[in-house]
Formats: sequence, C-alpha cells, structure tokens
Amino acid sequence: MSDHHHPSEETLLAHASGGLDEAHRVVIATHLAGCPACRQSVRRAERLGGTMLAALPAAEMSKGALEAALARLDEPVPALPPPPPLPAGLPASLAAYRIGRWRRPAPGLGLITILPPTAQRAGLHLLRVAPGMAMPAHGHSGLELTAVLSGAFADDDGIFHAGDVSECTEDAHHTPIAHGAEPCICLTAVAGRLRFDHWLARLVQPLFGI
Amino acid sequence: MSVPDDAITPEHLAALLAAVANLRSRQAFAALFAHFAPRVKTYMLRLGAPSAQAEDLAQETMLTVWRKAERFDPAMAGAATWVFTIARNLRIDALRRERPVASVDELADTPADGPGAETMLETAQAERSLRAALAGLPDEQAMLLRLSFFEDHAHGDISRKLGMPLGTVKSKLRRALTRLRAALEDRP
Ligand SMILES: [Zn+2]
Repeated sequence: MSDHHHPSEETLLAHASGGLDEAHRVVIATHLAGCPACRQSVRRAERLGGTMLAALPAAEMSKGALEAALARLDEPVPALPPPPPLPAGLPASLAAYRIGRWRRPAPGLGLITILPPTAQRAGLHLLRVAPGMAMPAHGHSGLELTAVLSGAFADDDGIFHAGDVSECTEDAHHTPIAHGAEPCICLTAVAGRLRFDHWLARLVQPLFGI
Repeated sequence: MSVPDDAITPEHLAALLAAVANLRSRQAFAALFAHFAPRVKTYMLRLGAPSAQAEDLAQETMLTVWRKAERFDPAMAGAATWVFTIARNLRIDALRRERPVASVDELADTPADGPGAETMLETAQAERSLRAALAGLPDEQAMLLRLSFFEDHAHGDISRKLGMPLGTVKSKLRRALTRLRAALEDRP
C-alpha cells in the first residue's frame, strides 16, 4: 500500500479547468473522493481558474440582464429527479448514471458500459477481471484513465490497489493483469472500442504470474 | 450604479458574498452580478458558447450564487474561485449529451476537508498573491494556462493548435504550476 498511484498534475489541472471528457472526469472524481492530496491540487488549480476569471475582460451583458436576474431570485429552485439507487460497492461518482447489469463478453471478464464511446469522446466502462487474467485490449488514442475500485491489477508501472489511478497516453503499450486472489473491479475511461478478439486470443495462452 | 470593477478586491468580493449568504442582500447580489456576470459571459464566449447561451449561462451562474451562497465557505475558496467552479460546472452540464439525473454540482467531488486554518481574509489574500504571481509568469506559460482554462481545453487540442508536441505542452504547464506553487500553497 506504500506506493500510491495518482493522476498527473496536468490531468488534475484539466479536471479543474473543466477540460476533461465526461468519462475521464468521472474516473478522476472517483479518485478524488479518496485522495486528499489530489483534492488539494485540484483546489489550487481552481483557485488559478478563479483568479484568471476575475482578470478576464467584461463582456457586454444585454440590457436589463441584472433586472432579469433580480426578478428570478425568488423563483423556486428546480428540483432534479432523485438519482437511481446505486448498486452496492460502486463509488458516489457514478450516482448520476444508470448502471446496467454485468455482461460477460468473455470468460473471466465482466463488463458494464456506462457511456458508450463515440468518435469524439471516450467511453466509460466498469470492468471485472478474474484473478490472473489480463484486461481487454482496446484501440489507443488519447488519454486512458483507470481507477481501481476493488482488488488490484499489475502492469509495468507497478501494482494498482483500490483508489489508485493508472494514466496512460497515446502509444504506451501495457498489459495490465488482475493481481491477487480477488477479481479486480475498475472504472476505465478509454477512447475507442474495447477489443475482445484480442482478449479471447490471450485466454488461449494462459498467463502465469505477472 | 456599480462599483468600478477593477477596483474590487478579493476581500470585497468575499464580503459581498457573505452579505448575500447571511443577509440575503439584493444590493450585494447586484454588486456581485456587476462584477462577475460579464466575466462569466466572456468565459463562456471564449469556450465557444454562442452569445445567447453565454448570457444564459452567466445568468444561471449568478442565480446559483444566490441560491447556494450559504454553502460558500470562505476558508475553502475565494469568491472568484467559487464563482469559477459554479460557472465551470454549469457549462459541463450544458454540454452533456444526455440530461443527467444529477448535476455535476450536486455530485461535488470534494468532501469537506478544509485546511481549517485559513480565514476568509487569508483566502482572499491568497487570491491576491496569485494574481501577482500570474502576472509574473513567462508569457508562454501564461498563455498555455489561459488556453487550458479558457480556450481549447484539451491539451491535445492546444498541442495541435500551437504545433507544439503534446509532451512539451504538458511539461511547460507543469513548469508553470511549479512556479505558481508558492503562491498557490495553502498557508500552514
Ligand atoms: Zn491522488
């Protein structure tokens, strides 16, 4: 538990500025809920945003904008419908989403796609990987962020436990493998479709150790 | 009718916000509106919102300030920082593909673990020293920070726009953050 894996400073900055994709933002929010150090970094970056906002030139508001705002101050606050109950074991960062059932695209692998990927945006998936199994492969473009929810996985960068985040960019090729006796459940934001062909191919040649 | 904007200090803004929270002062709200609404509109315009939407989002931001003023914790954030996070979250919600069941703001990812030691005055001073530190940043670093917050957003887009390798964008941003660290550091 000694070496924790955190998102990079640039990614935390991007989170604070509102520049992350929805999928990536949810993964970072999952980490922040359990990491005071990164929360502090985000607050610092937000302070930067606030300071820069205060220094922006003023745009012209339309006539009567203030009066319109004043007239609305006593309006009742629109209530959003309550979020659906969150399945046990899932982080609060997923509270806004409807979580489907686990699908089994391959033996030893569970998958729930929360946000399907599009040409412009990363997808958000829950993955459950049986001990010793490798994660599915996927098309690589842009930032890939994975937060471990339970269990652990190992790759070239070390062992990632619950709360840790793995951050990969562009062409970093790695093969994360579920580590330990428990299945590894993680939340991952990746561009492109997950490739299960690869995943199945790997299963044919069992992996020993890491 | 409004206070000349550039003269407004972070301390003054925090005091106005406190008056909105504690006294429900419409006058204080109007002063905050005069300062922040046009800047939030600029923020939205720079991020590509059409003019009418930028104006709506500025209005929504200020209404949220009114509604949530009692949640403003001056020991956690300066007034400008708090308004920035509200504006940012409203923009994120506006951009979402599907109507969420809860707004980003509702799902605030920051459990209260405030430094505690900071007073409203100290937080305001921190915003002030950050202003100075930003002004002293090399032009290129300042520009990259501005682009991160107010324009292209994704670091990959910035890299393409400037024809600068992504790794260079990131390392320059990291350098800017390091330089600002002293000013950004929360007081002991
Ligand atoms: Zn962290």
